[in-house]
Amino acid sequence: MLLPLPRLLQGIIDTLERQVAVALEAGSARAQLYACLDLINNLADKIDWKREMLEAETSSIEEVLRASVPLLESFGPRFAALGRKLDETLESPPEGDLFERRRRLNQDLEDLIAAVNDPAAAFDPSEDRLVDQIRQQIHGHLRNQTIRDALYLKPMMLKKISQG
Amino acid sequence: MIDRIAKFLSSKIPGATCLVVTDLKKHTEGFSLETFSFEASWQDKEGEHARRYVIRREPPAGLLEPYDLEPQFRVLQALGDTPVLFPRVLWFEKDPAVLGAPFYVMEWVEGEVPLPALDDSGNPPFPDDSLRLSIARDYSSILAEIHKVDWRSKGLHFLGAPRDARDAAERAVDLWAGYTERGRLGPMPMMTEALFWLRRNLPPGGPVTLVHGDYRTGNFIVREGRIVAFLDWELVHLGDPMEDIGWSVSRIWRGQSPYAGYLVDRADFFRWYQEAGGAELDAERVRFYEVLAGVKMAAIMLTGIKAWHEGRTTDMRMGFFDQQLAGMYAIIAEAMGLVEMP
Repeated sequence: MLLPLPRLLQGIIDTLERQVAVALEAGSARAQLYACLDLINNLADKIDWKREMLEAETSSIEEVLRASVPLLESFGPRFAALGRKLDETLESPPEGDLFERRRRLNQDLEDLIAAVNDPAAAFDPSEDRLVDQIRQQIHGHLRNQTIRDALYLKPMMLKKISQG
Repeated sequence: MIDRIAKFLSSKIPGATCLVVTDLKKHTEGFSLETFSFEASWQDKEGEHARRYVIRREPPAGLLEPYDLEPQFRVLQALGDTPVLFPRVLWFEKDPAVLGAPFYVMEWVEGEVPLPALDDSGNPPFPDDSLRLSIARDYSSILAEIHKVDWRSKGLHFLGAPRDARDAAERAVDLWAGYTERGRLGPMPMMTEALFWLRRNLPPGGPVTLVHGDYRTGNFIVREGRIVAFLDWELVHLGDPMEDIGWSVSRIWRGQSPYAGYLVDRADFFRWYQEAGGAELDAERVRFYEVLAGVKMAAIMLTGIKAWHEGRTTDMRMGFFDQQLAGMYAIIAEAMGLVEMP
């Protein structure tokens, strides 16, 4: 779910118009197709991703970041800038476009993952425990998010998509 | 297109006259290269001839861009006198002016291509157990034959020879990290964590072999209960043979089935592969390559999503990956040991 919903809907419209409509021979089938296109076109401005789905993901990432900020402080100045960035995101009010907030939180999470895996960070053995704690937080979120996403996933129609 | 194919074939078949191309079909099975088949008939001194051929052409935008068909064509030419089964390749044309993009022509191989998916009634692709076992044995031994190819004497260095299996693993991670970055449309924590997992868990050195790169159900032709050709050599390279094993047994191709690619029990696959002279099996290496399999597939999907998002293709089979990516992340998470799937 990387793309905004309007982009996906526009893509469906483009494909149906450019690749499907031109190949349909039966007028009755084309009539049905154009009714679908008209409907999708009108729906596009009125619908968005389910809020509860985005909220579950954003609050899960917020938990990881909130738990990680004090741990990052234990590393001294090395991760101070990252800690401030995470704080800033957490303190900014979660209003407006939730899809955009999700993007920003995921970016912070990705930065956190990069930080604890940075070979240049040269963690000493006493810091390994802290790295593990952060990694466990990250893995906990990735595990839960995988399960949440899987609940919405319908079986792929691979055979039909491959063979028509 | 028919006229252009006929003109091309006329220039390639010595002494051919009255060459006619008919029954041109575009096939949708592959998600990457464009595939066409057609009938060609002609006359020469020896009489009349009719053959069916396949064209594989670079797509305008796709899952493995940027494309270069020449390496796979050269590999398949070099494999001519080995026991590896594949369709014989005939001509490669680099000039995009001929058919709109580089392409090669290969022989048509009669048979069925079973897909790693259930049919509409929920039946697996190999419902008959004795048939499944016969195909599974072929599947295991053909992979061993690919890995036994003496790539040095075949002059396959041009594929880029890693120093050893560890170097091969590093190269593979770099390659798919590159695809991931090129397909980036936003933050991807799961991919980032998985790529770091791979770098933390690189396998030690070991032998380097020819690697098919996409060895799985869906990429072979079956006729009368036997595999008669292995297809889709787009990802062929030199690397760790366990890469093909990890890809082959990945959850990607088995869904809920207990069998790798709906075809073969994992233990049987390993045993038959070894009996056929395959490389030494190493569970940890296989696990590494199962994680890489998920990353590789997700990176391929990301490339398609980006091409579709940027309007370089209206092929919805690229756009639909945006929703299916979650399933691939689940497969990666399972391979890394973060989740257990039923």
